[in-house]
Amino acid sequence: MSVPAPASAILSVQRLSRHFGGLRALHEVSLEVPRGSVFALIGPNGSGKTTLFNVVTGTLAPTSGAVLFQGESITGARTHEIARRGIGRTFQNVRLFTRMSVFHNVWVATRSRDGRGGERARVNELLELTGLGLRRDELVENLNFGEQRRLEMARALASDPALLLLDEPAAGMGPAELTRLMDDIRRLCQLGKTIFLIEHTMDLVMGVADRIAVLNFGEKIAEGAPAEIQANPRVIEAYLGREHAGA
Amino acid sequence: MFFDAAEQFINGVMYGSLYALIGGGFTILFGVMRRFNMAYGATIMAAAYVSLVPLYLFRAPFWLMVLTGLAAAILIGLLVEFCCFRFIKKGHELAPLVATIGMLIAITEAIVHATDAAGLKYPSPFGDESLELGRFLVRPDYLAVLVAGVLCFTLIFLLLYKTRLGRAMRAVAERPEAAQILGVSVQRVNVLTFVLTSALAGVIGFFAAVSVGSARPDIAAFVTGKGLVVMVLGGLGSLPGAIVGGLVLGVLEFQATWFLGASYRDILAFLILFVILVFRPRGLLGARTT
Repeated sequence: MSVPAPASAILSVQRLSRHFGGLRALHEVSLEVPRGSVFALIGPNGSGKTTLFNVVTGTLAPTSGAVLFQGESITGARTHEIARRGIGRTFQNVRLFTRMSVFHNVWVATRSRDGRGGERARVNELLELTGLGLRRDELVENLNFGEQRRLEMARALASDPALLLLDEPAAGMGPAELTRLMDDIRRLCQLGKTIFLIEHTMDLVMGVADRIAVLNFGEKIAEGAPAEIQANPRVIEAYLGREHAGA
Repeated sequence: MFFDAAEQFINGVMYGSLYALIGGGFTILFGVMRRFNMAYGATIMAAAYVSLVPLYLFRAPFWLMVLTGLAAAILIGLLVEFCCFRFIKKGHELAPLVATIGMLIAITEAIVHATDAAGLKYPSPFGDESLELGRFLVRPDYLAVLVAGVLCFTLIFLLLYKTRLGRAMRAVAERPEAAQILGVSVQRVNVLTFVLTSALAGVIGFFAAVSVGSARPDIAAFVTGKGLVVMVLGGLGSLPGAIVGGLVLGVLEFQATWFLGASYRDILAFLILFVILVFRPRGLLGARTT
């Protein structure tokens, strides 16, 4: 029943549903994340965004529907297998290894077989990329919140995933950190990564996303370029209107 | 008086390293899986019995006995993992605990039936002659336990901090969901943790039987009691805590035996447990938060 995804899509979500008892956390959601793009998923709290991430990464099994990654089905596969195929992820509430140093948090995630020297070089490279080079021997608890988020991103990149899922990467960030995050995301795109992110911060979404999908009560209500989404009356009603009124 | 106390202190440290090994086995499994394996004592006891087989069959040297016990313990450990953890670990938190208690009883019964409940003499390969260490006399098998303890913990720490498996184990211990997202198979780590702690059980079984002088079914209860006390004493899930807890328990027991009499030894262990639970519930080296 799964339709072949267009070659340009790295991730294809097909009529995906996840129900919890009577609650339809996700209902018949379909979307295509184009390779090399920044794809944003937005929607009010509880609209099913993180549930979608959890199904894509195998943390939750879908009730129905399919997920294709690079043209192959990963529906119902186990989390570590999906990770090894090339999907990295960060969490909404940062989940670092607090008993390890900054360096070891990233080192844990490296999977290359090129020996310890190669792994160390790779970890250092990622720490430089995320601006944590000088903090490498620090304990995680001594990092500020923005640094912790960047570290989690470095960790997710350690296995060189083709697709990176970022769950609210800008949460709790100030304007300077936000600018830096947007630069980081664009740079990752230039390095050939595809970014699929959940975000509430509209400056970030409108600033970096090539394409946006909107969820409301577990259903996709709109998808398009940032300008189209901003002008879409259903979106304004469900999300942007309230969000902007509150801000 | 002081001399006696010092000699008993040395004995306590040496025998305490056996307690440290027992506590270490419980702790590694608890640290990685957040579950108690109550069948661990039975695994140790059964390994001691099985290690006698090559001795009875062809008077095998002691290293072959240790290897046999190790292999038997690993097989039993894998059986415990398969029956008590693999299929029910996601269910109720207490389900694996109760299942391992069942396994403890089953393994003990199996051994009792196979051997008519009789303890089997377990010869010490280290001889019966006490060794002179300066002015102190020490039992050779206690000294061997100390050496084995240092060796085992060195290997364990090297494994945990220098190998790919070790870092996966530490990652799973702290945040299994994050470890999975980084490509670590939690099930594989769980199985390998069982292999590791069971191998340790083989070593413990050998030394426990040597120090007691026989392989007996009640080694299971002895080991379970000491292991839980050491775990709580040192701090749940802390491996350095298990080492310190084991040594402290060993030292205190030997002082109590010498000054109060042997019958006070086991009372003391549980008195310490009680005091720790009341005044320092997180144990000597336990983390403040999880």
